[in-house]
Amino acid sequence: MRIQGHLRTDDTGKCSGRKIYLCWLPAAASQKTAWVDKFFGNLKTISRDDNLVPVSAERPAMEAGTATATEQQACRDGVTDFVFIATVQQIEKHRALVIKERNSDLKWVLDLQSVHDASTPRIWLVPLEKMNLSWFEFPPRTSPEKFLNDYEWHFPMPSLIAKHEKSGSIYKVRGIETKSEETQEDLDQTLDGLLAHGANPCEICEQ
Amino acid sequence: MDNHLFISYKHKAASAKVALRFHDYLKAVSGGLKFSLFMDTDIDAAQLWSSEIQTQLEKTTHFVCLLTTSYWTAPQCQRELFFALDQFNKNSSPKLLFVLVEKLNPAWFVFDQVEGTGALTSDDPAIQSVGDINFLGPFDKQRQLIRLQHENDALLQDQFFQLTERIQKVLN
Repeated sequence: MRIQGHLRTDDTGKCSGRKIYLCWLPAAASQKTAWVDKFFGNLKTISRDDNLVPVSAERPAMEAGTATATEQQACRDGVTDFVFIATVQQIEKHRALVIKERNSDLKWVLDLQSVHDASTPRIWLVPLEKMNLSWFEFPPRTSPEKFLNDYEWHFPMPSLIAKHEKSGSIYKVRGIETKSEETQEDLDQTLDGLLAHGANPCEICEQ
Repeated sequence: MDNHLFISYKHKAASAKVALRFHDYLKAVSGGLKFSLFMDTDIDAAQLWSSEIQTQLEKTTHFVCLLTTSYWTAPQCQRELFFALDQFNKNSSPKLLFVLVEKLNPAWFVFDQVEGTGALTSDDPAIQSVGDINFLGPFDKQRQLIRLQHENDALLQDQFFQLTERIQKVLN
């Protein structure tokens, strides 16, 4: 299987669709976990995106850092869209994994970003809390330092983003509503944003 | 990294849980915002003045006090606060950053009239009560000081974000 322009193709060159990878480390039961469960459940019911491209969804169930290399490879193979569900706790969990030299799928995908290869998955950020991406050094303790706002994130809900007035590069993001009656609306909009992306690279993909 | 934050809180109180969460939040952003952090999670509150706490306080540039009524009456907390206040009076450092954890009126907490101790005296006429110190927060939309909303996870996360933004502004 090959990946061309964010679409998987089989050995005959036939398009086999988008593989969406949901990144969420096990966390204590909470409204946020419930939101992720619901989001993934809804995603699994969708067979094609807005461009009628087949869609599949993957959410690795393994405990953080404990999956075997084979299991990891199976999950990561052919991923076209990597969706990071972001909370401060999730970021800190990934930072801790990297510091302990254990497997972090967030690090895996962000390392790929530096390659700028056509097969590199798109990275999406779904914030469940208000946060400033420039506050988070990731991967931690590396030189030169890199921060989460240094990556070319796609945002399913662009209305959540505020760019820094001066640099234009620092993202401050509002969290998606996970509690009130707005939950369903935000969840639907997130799905819509994710599925509206066409096969062709957008401005963010090309950066 | 010159900025060193010390989180002062009351052990074994209901507020200890929210203190730990705030610590974890700040730890997550400490690399990006360039500060080191200390909170005595491993030190027994009943222990006498620890040399480790003394060492940490001496290098503290920002003293974050999670204020509750039980904090105010706890001898260990008073020692930490007094030390920070004393240092501030002498050197204008560390910065004193108060966070309101429970509903109370800061003006009620007068430094030289703490019942039973008499320890928390302020030589600075400008600082005679907690009400004279600028609070880090949290604040509501009308910029009124409110307590941490620890019973509401989403609101608490927003408040942590606001507090961190304000810390960012006062870092050296």
